[in-house]
Amino acid sequence: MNKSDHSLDRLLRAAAQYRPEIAEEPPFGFTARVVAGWLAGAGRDGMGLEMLWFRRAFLCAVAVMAIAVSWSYKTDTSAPNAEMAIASYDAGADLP
Amino acid sequence: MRDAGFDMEACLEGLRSQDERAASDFIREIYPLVLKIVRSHLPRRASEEDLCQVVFIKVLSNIGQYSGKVPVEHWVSRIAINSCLNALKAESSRPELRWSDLSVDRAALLEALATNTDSLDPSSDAASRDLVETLLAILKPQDRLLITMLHLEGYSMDDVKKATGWNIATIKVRAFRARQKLKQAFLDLNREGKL
Repeated sequence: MNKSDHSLDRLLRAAAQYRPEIAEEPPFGFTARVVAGWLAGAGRDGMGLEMLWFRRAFLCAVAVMAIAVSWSYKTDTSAPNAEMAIASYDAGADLP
Repeated sequence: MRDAGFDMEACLEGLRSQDERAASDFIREIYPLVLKIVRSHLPRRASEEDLCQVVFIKVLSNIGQYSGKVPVEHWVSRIAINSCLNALKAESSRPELRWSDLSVDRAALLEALATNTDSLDPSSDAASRDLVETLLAILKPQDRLLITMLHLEGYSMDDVKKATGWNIATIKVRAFRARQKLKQAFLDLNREGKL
């Protein structure tokens, strides 16, 4: 072990000896704050469930919308019906 | 640590049914353990009390997930350590340590370490801890956590594994690297002091 390792070890050993006082009791008002935070959070959990359902419903709606849009786009851009083309040609040919 | 007359099982049952009285008893019982962990791994600018509060709210909110397979103290310790680790990660900046920034006590301690090879005087324990924490502040959160647990709190590798969930090989490699980084920071500081 070299000198710097030895010095670092001595420093760490001395630091480990230091034991600050640990309070046995929580500070005044601490318990009330934690309990209030916990109960408020528990209330939000119920709301969280509603939000989860809302999010799922929203995603389902977006998926249905995307399918509908892609289906209508596909229908629009497909080749025109052959019968319709002939009908249009005949209609055009009759014009003076 | 647990009070002889304290019935933890009944208290946990109370917590599951959101009993405020059970929550107060639980907090009073577990507070010293949480405070000890938070104090050991507290980020520089964080408030000890605020972090304890965050830990307790997490514990109480997730009490339904406690299976009872391990002692409740171990479960709480893991939540406390993870909360501290997250708080350390959130503290994004790592300070640069300069000899000129050291207090007189810390500078004298470094000189004492450099000039003699005996154990340090017990009166310098607090200054040593202070200096080590200053050096640790420049390490990454996981490295800092490991050095604190292994060298300052006296945890064994198994204790660290239980507390963090990391495997032994990871702990050994990370601990070695963390120690190298700490040594480098210590050497840089000493070198600067000699200039």
